[in-house]
Amino acid sequence: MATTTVFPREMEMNAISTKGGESVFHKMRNVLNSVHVSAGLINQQLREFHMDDVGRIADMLEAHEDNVGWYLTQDPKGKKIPHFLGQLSQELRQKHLETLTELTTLNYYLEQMEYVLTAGHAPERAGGFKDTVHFVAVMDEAVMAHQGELDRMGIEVVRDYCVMGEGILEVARLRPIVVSLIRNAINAMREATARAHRLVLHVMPCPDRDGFVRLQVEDTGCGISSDCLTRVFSPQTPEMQSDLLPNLYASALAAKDLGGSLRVWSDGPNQGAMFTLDLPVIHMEDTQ
Amino acid sequence: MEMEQDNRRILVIDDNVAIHDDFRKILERSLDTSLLQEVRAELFDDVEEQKVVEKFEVDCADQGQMGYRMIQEAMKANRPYAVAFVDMRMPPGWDGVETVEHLWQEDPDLQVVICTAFSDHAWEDVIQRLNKNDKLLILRKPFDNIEVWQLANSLTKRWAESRQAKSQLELLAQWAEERAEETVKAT
Repeated sequence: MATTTVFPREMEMNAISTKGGESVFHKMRNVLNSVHVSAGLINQQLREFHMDDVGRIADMLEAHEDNVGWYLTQDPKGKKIPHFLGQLSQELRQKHLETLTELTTLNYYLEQMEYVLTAGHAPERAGGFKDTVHFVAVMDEAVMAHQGELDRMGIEVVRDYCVMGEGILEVARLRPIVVSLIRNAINAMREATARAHRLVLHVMPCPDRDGFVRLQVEDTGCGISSDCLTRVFSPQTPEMQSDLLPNLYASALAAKDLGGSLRVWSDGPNQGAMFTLDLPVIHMEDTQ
Repeated sequence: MEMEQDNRRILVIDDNVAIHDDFRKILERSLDTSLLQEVRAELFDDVEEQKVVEKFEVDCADQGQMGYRMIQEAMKANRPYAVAFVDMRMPPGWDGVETVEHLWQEDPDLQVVICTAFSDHAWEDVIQRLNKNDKLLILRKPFDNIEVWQLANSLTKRWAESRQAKSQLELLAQWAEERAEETVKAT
């Protein structure tokens, strides 16, 4: 794949500094790197799809059209076919899932870039586009974008969805919040090494607020001490993540803009943390 | 000696954790070695059985200081890393050059790849400062998967070769010393 430079060098010079002192340009180049690797991996994965095998088997069967029964049960090669087809289908399904996961990750990187090029940079966005949002789908997409990483880190994912809620929201603003909460959880678990980790996702009707849905992201990571809990959403808190996502402060503001709220709870250092995002819904169906 | 030949341990030092995952995606992936490959070779005439391609063992650090500590621990445990990929810019800690200087103090055999997304470094200065340019390569971001894989593959081999050469030299030196002692005794 050809290496491309997206921005002229002048932009590097004039790069806008973020709070962490790191230039947006530097972050952008890093995300571009991940885009490259991701696209390269998808390319590689697709080449490993043994699509020709299906055709080859078809040819072999066709060549023994007159005595397929004998061929599949007696012929030394032919009798391997049924078992092989089963395995092949398993392999294709597995590779398909891997590729789909990587594509979702790629999409997530592109969204990060878009976030910077639009919402992150534009001074004021005139009323964003609102759409019907399936909360569970937003949650699942955000996790899927990180599935590869979660697998590599051996983190178990538990889904506790007791409602398939829908709401009318600016999905372009909701998605980065959820993704950023998941990233935050992964980073917290990366810091607390040497123990097994679990990411628990809850989607449920808000118990204390009518007409609201509650999205929770719970991790078993490094936790937050009680005196830091109040400062998690403060604009002064340095950005923990080096990617282009909104930090927790920006996420809390966005949640408020969407008519909801974002809160955090942790039992203390090394006790994990739970972020709770409450959002208004228009229509909710209980699937139980 | 066998252990040294098989050292595929890689250390990635980069302040951006997303880059850690990029390296893992590339290096921890075993290349298409499915069980099916065997059956496939039996069923189809034109398919050859593929050789197993060994994957790498990747550890990551998000700051130079942390990477340095990991190298120290690895040396202590007698499980040295063969190759380190080090990012050039890692605020707020050591930059790439400073990190590499520290790494080489601890492990002079380490093969190093400096990664950078910027073109504003005077490479002559970097190379002069590190003064060991045969163990130093430069990788420009955004990188290609195959570039990283090939670098890791050939540098782990180079690591093993240089260790082997070094131990042969040591043997030779020891032998020479013994002979010298014998000569002294004889006279």
